[in-house]
Amino acid sequence: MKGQLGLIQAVVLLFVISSLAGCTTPEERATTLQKSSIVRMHTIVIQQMKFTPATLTLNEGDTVTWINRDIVVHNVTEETNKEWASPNLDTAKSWSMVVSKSSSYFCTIHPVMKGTLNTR
Amino acid sequence: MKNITSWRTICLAFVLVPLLYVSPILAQKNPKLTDAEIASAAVVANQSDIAFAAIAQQKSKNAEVLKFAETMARDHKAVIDQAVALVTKLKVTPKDNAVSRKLKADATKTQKMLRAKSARTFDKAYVDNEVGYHKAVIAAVETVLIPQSSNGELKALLQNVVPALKSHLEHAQMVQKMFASK
Repeated sequence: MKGQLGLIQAVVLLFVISSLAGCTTPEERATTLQKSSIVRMHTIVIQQMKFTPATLTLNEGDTVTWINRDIVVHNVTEETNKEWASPNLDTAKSWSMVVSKSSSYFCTIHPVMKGTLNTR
Repeated sequence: MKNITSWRTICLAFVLVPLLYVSPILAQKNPKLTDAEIASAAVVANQSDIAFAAIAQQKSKNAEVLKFAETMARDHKAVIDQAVALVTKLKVTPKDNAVSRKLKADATKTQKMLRAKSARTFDKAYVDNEVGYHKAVIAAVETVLIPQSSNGELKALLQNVVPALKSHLEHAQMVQKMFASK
């Protein structure tokens, strides 16, 4: 009986210690939660000569993947200063990028195809 | 009075010029085409635009025209590759017909006209032709080839090609405006 009580006390103590070790302040928890909700993956489908969605609102640090589901080759290129650009994407190929700021982009092969990334 | 006559001439030209492009393809009004004949017409239409692009790549020095011609050559080749893959899968041999023969004959005339252009007048002639040609091909695909396709996969391929043709038309019109503003 005495031995059983000792074992229960040890288990409870271990539980309390491990819980305390994992404790964070409410601020730290909020920051962690915020960070984990910021980083997201987004997909833009290139199909029928359009980017879908054509306008995407996202957080800085999110990753966007463009996938070409069209019958012809496409690319994505930042429109104003060509700050970033994908290689030419054959059918079924994709390309990803971490977004650091808002930008407008287009396909240099088909300049009438345009899209926008808006960061919050 | 003279002004009214001029306006009538302009309006008439505005109506008739697009018809000159469209009518050759639609001249065979409601030709009943088999899938093999539709495949042939589709391949010829794409080959013709590749041929026009090849002339532009030889004759033009304009960066925008060269870029457009490169896109035409690349995209229309991709469409031909898909059409060939499909007819091979369906075990269909593209069959020459009145529509594809007319397309070939018109393309030969256009190539002759483009080759005869001087360096100064070529770019505008090429882009103007591309605008008219894409309008005509879009009309033919939407009103003749798609409705008459009996195979679902052939119909789907043609339907998938239409947005590319429309984007080419917009691109050609964009380049055309550039010449108009000069």
